[in-house]
Amino acid sequence: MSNPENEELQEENYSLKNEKGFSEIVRSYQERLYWHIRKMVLSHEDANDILQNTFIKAWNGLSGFRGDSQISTWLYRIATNETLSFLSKKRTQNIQSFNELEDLLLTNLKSDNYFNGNDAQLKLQEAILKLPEKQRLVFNMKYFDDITYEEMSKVLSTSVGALKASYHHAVKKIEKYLEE
Amino acid sequence: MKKEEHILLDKIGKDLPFTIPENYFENFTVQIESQVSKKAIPIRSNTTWRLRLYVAAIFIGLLLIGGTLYNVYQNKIDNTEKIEQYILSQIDDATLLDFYLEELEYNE
Repeated sequence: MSNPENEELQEENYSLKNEKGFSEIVRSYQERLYWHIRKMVLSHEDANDILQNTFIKAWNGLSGFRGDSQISTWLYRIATNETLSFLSKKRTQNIQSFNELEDLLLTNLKSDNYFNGNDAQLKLQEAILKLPEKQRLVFNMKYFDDITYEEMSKVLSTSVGALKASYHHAVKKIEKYLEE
Repeated sequence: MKKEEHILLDKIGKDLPFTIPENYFENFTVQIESQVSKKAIPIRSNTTWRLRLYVAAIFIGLLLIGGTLYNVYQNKIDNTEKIEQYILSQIDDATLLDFYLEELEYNE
């Protein structure tokens, strides 16, 4: 998650509140944050909306950023919160149409032009969707991004021990689902 | 960790089955830059100077109040000292000495 070169960029008396400085931040982190969001919401359009909201929130919150965490951690936190808010809102909106939001996400994924996975990958996404949201986050961050538990702990405000247990449990559930 | 993931890794791997539109990230940066420039707060030098004036005025006000309070306090002390001196001047030395000796006995 953290990139030493980019962290230096930001730490070096950078006036983050100017547009040029902020553009650098966007360029440095947009891809990582996009995929972090996309893995949770699955749809490119939704991920794009959330990513925009994330950076707008970051821009608006820059003056309040005290540098007591790394920029990457701060941005990941905003992105995560925006994603969870989005999913929560979507769940409320679809409560009458579908029993589960996850059914909706999966149905949309199958017909999504920006999904090019094979059957096994589709089944994996299906299995991941069965996990509770926070556990999905943990699984995605560990399995796909290989983020350390220490870094994850700062983003999700959860202890390392709890994250390890959550991931271990997630893997077991997913493997059981894949074997069915 | 690899051990517990082995079924997943063997069967599926870690590639994400998602694609994005062409030049998405290049366009995204431009999009955000235009949104941010709309929201940019212009630097107004008047605001900065006004703020400095307010701060200076508050500081001067505090100094004046502090100075006034100090003078009042000093006057009080001066007055107190004068009153003490006056009272003491009304008592003869013998009476004063008796008083101090009694105090000493009381405190022993």
